[in-house]
Amino acid sequence: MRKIQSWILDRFDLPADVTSKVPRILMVGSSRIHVENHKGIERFSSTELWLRLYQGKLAITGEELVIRVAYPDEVVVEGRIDEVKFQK
Amino acid sequence: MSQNHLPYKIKGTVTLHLTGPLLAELLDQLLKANIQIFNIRWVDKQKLELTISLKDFYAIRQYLRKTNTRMRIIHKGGFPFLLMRMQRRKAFVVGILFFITMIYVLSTLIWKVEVEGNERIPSQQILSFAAKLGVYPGQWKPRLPDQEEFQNDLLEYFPQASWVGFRMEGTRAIITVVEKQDIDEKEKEGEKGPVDLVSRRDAVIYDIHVERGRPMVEVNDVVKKGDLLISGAYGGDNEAGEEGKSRIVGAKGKVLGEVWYDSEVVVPLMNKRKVYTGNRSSTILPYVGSWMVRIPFLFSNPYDKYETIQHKKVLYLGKWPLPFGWVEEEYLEMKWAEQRLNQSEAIALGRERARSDLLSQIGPDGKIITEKVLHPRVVSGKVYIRIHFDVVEDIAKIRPHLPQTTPSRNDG
Repeated sequence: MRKIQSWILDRFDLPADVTSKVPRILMVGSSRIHVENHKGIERFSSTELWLRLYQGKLAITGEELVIRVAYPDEVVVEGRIDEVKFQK
Repeated sequence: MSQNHLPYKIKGTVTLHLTGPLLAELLDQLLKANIQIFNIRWVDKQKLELTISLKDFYAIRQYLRKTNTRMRIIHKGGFPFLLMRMQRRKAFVVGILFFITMIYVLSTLIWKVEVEGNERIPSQQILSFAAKLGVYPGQWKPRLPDQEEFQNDLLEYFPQASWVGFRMEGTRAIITVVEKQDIDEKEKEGEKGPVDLVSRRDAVIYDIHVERGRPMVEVNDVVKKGDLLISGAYGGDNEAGEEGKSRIVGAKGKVLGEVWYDSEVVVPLMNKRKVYTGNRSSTILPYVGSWMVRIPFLFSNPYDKYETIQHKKVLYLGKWPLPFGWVEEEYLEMKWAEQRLNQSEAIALGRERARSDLLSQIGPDGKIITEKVLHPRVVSGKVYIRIHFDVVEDIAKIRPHLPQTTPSRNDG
């Protein structure tokens, strides 16, 4: 299935985010980050937020992190963000 | 999608402080249960603050229990809580509602009736008659008399007024009065004083009726404009010239003089006028307040040129008119009818017009003796006619009595 999907994406020159299996991340400066297509919250403190993805995890580290809004597949985080990192 | 807080504000939100060992786990479970969470932040190392909608508040309890989390409500916001608070302050709510109702009710009353434009008719008289007709401070606006009717009634009651208007400005009723100019009266008053009658224009005297005063001209005399016709001084021993012993009585009478008028009339040979074709159609339009619901494509009328007649059907509740009803609109088709005249017809028409014009000009005593059409000519589709009228009319005009000679006067 995944093979067919990536083949179609290749053939038709489609952007990767239409498959909805990869996260879509939008960042505004270093103060706001918007992540779509996550799979849940793994860890949250005022200095780090770990989000589960379809493949691996996303670690956002910084200071005074606040989750503005959390939906089942989407989060908006504000704070002083230092680092956004993909992990296996 | 992400920032639409408003519906949650309306439905109500709850802000919680949570403490427990598995808070991140709890967040994850809540998201999986399709619960939306706002403003998640750590208050300190143990305490997590978050906001959820009121609807979800009852759903999260099982998750709290499962993760062994303790909860404290720190803020309730939004409309449901506002309502709840308002229920507790009943008097306040009643006060607000009472205030709004009072403003509404009071603004449907007339607070002041004003009269403007009157000089001689006393305002008090107008106000008291208006009150009898139902226009007074404290009257409920829907019970006001019909505007047109009211104006007519006032006009009938005050014959000194030539026009009466009535309008509302918010809670003020304004009656506008236009009074008649009493020129006739002044002239009548003047007649009683010491006046002479003089000629208004050049004429040949046709007839003289003297009621008071001494005639200074005779029939068939030619007079010029401003000549003395009847003198207001009367009773001297001699005839004219000796003013010394005469009494001043003021002249009164009629002097008919023969005068001439030239009228210029233009009559177009082609007359265009509108006539009804007899075709008619009608539609019914609802209205609310003063707004007529006109649906442009549905009720288009079928005619090019037409005249509209509106019949308003007001619905009554008991005896009070409701603010809505319907209007029946009737369209009468019209067309231009052309009427062609030949020259003699045009001249006859022009003569008729000129005659009626003149008759209204020369007053009730006047009459036309002869009339003569002078050189009619046709220029660009119009007939220009000059008509010469020989007319008898009252040529007397009032002038204050002036002694013509000023000898030493010793009258008293």
